[in-house]
Amino acid sequence: MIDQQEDLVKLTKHELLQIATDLDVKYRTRMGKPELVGSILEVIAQKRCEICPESEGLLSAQLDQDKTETELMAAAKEEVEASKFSPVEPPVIAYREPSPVALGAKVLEDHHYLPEGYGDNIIVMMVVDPVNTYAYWEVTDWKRDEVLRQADAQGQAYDVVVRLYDVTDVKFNGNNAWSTKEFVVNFAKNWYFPVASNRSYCLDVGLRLGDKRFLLIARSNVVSTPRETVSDFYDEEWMMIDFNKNRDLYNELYRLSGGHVIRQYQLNSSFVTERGREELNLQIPIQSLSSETLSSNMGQKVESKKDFWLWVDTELIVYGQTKADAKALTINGEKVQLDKEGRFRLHMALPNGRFPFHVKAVSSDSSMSEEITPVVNRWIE
Amino acid sequence: MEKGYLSMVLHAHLPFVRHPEYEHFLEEDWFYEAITETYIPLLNVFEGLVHDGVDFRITMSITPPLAAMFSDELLQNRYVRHIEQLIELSAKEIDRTRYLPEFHETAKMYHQRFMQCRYAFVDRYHKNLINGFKKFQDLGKLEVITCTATHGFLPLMENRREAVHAQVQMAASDYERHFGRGPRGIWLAECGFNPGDDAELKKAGIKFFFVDSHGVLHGHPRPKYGVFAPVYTKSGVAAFGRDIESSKSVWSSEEGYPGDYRYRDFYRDIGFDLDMDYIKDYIHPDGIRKHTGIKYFRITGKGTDSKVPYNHHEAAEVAASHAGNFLFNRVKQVEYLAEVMGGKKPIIVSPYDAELYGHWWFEGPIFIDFLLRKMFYDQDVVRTITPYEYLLENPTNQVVTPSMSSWGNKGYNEVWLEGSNDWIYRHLHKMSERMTELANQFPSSDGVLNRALNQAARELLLAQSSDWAFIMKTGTMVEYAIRRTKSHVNRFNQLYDMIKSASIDEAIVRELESKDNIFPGVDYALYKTSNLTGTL
Repeated sequence: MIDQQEDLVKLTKHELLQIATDLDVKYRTRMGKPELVGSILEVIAQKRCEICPESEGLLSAQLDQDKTETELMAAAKEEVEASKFSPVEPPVIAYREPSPVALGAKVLEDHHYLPEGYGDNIIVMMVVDPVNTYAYWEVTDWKRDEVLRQADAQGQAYDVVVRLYDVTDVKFNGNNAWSTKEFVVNFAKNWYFPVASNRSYCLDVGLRLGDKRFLLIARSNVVSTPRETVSDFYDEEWMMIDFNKNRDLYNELYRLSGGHVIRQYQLNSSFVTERGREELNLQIPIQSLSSETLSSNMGQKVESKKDFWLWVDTELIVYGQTKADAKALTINGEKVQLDKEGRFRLHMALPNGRFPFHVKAVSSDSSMSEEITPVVNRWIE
Repeated sequence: MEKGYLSMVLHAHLPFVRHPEYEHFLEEDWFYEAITETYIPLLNVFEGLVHDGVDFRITMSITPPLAAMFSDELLQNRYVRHIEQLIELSAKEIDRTRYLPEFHETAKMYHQRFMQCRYAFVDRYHKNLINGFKKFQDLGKLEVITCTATHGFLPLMENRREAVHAQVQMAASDYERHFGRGPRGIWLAECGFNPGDDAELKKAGIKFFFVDSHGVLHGHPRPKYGVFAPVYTKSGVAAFGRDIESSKSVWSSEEGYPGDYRYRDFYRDIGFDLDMDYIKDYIHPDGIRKHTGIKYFRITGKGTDSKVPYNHHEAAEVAASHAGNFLFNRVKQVEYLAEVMGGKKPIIVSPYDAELYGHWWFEGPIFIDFLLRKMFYDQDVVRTITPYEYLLENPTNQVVTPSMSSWGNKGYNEVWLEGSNDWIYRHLHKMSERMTELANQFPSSDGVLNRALNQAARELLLAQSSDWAFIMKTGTMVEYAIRRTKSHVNRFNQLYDMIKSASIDEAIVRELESKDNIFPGVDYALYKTSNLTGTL
């Protein structure tokens, strides 16, 4: 985040407005550039002052974990994860015959060559860690020749170079980077670039001519490196997601739509009347079925506005097994699918009522059959 | 009334390795070993707890490739063959150690274990362990969450949003196919989080994910409660940060529990130690020695060759005392935090690779068993919980944008982007670009064209498995990882060329379909650019 006055003044008004929006600076749309700079600095200073003592203690305690210990632990973890892919060579205790290369490695026929390139002119940047990035690129001969021709520079000596730009919080137009570094790469196809944390970068690949001109061939995506330390923004924002309410509503609608129920059992209407009618008349836009959020700014806790309520439902599983080659298994006359071992399982809603399950299995040659009829009653006291 | 919570998360994952063209394939063993040493022992622990009326909550991620392997008939039958071999071998071992009392007890233990494994696998879970995990989820004890479709590492797909979208959507739909409902949570591969990816999680209906500690701690703005409460990203998806304290006591190679000298040593296996004539039927048919899972020695000292025999009764006692110690520390931690955090109940999130328990740390599942029982019977300060339950109880949380992070070595992307593996990304990104190009070009298709497009999607997904880059860096089976990557790239490019030139060879498509058969229901349309702008 840009936070120094001398840096802020270099930004355009549009860019300042972006930052001001992120920081929620009041009246920002009415301000000119100097006012924007001033207000932004003020807000940043304010956010840094709101220290919460308990979390300070918590955070510093966690951060105090010995760094080398964490690294040792990470290395140990890597060893364990790697053991999933054993055999790992054990220390030589007993004599062993030398083992040939694992058979597995030999069998994939189409593993020999990969294309050198794909005929694109691109450069792609990737983050390795807060202070390192990696990029690969491809520059075709014809493109190189084309830019040389367009610049009237055929025959001139040139280097293939990559330029690294710090483009934190700016819309890069080729000239407005905070800093630029150039690397002569020539025949290399990839590189690791050291950078700073919590900043954004992109790269250009092109030709640096003998007469000092730079001919652009391709520009990369923008990447942002993560922070290396704890954020110094204490500003708190809270959100409540009422999982209960929405699970409840979702289930209700699903049930009403006939879900959970096998064809023959209609939802018993008396069950529905047990819920408050008002609940069912709620307008629920489809989008918010998966979450309903209330969010507030600036450290205010949201009061939960639930009325007191309760719902209870029951579901039933009817399951069993017959001989795998049985001709058919029916429940109340409806054919039910058997798995490879002759098992069946039905999971359905259980509303009020009396429900007999007349289960009948018929053998493969139709000569024999078996029947069992469990009956289930549900009512509400 | 509890003062705080512990949420243990076990991340179970193996890359999709299935080679029907070969009778015995070395790398398939990873799967069989994990079943024998981790997944079935964990399921046994859950069975025991439920049977004894011990209430517990635990979270597990089962990645789509692992779920695919669980459900694959070929691999299921190969596992039965594998365990039956072990039953036979362990019976021979009982005989061989008849006059070696220091090993005989252990030999009997293995035989019993393998028999029980076979029973659990075939009879109890009907050869598909998903049935087991689903059972405990339906009972409300276990929350199964998903993971990116082929364990793809999202921060290194930043420039290809369609690829991120596809990895997440495929994960959600695959989960639904196995478990009958959408996933509530996701384990991002390697906890690799890139700010902005949460929007894709939201689209898939996912409500929470996990990040490494510094992901939350370095978040913007500062998290008031550190990692001891979840934070909401701006899109409303919750992020849970890993607790370092509880991780250290298990992961640390110096002071972690698994390093105790009385526990079983991972490396000393009879597959390497015994005479070739005796062991040759139980290692690779080509004579390549490998782990059998039968190991007789204690850890003793690292790198020494002193042969102190393992005593599994003693080891179980040690596991019990470690469980007690772990619990004691969590109680103290929660008591302290609850005070500091005022009214809010802290949640301690402890994620681990599932394979740590059992495969690496043989006594791990016993530790979990003791821990959950002690937690239930011996105290009431800390209670186990699943992340979703915590959110239901505590729906108001701070809005923080977590920082880009991972739980890999050094905490960012270095493990998957360094000298040994950086060369792959040029190709992976190009594949993603081409896949999107094809998806945009063919909004609908049928017949062979449709099959070719879907197979191309499969090749891309398989190439994106972060395991390959990981293996290249850590140097275990590098040749295999390189060849997997290259072959998926080449297969994809072959399909791409056929599709673009409108001359698709059905035989080639069919062959690839049978070899790389993950995600039968994959829909290449996931890669359309229009998906990115769609609203919920």
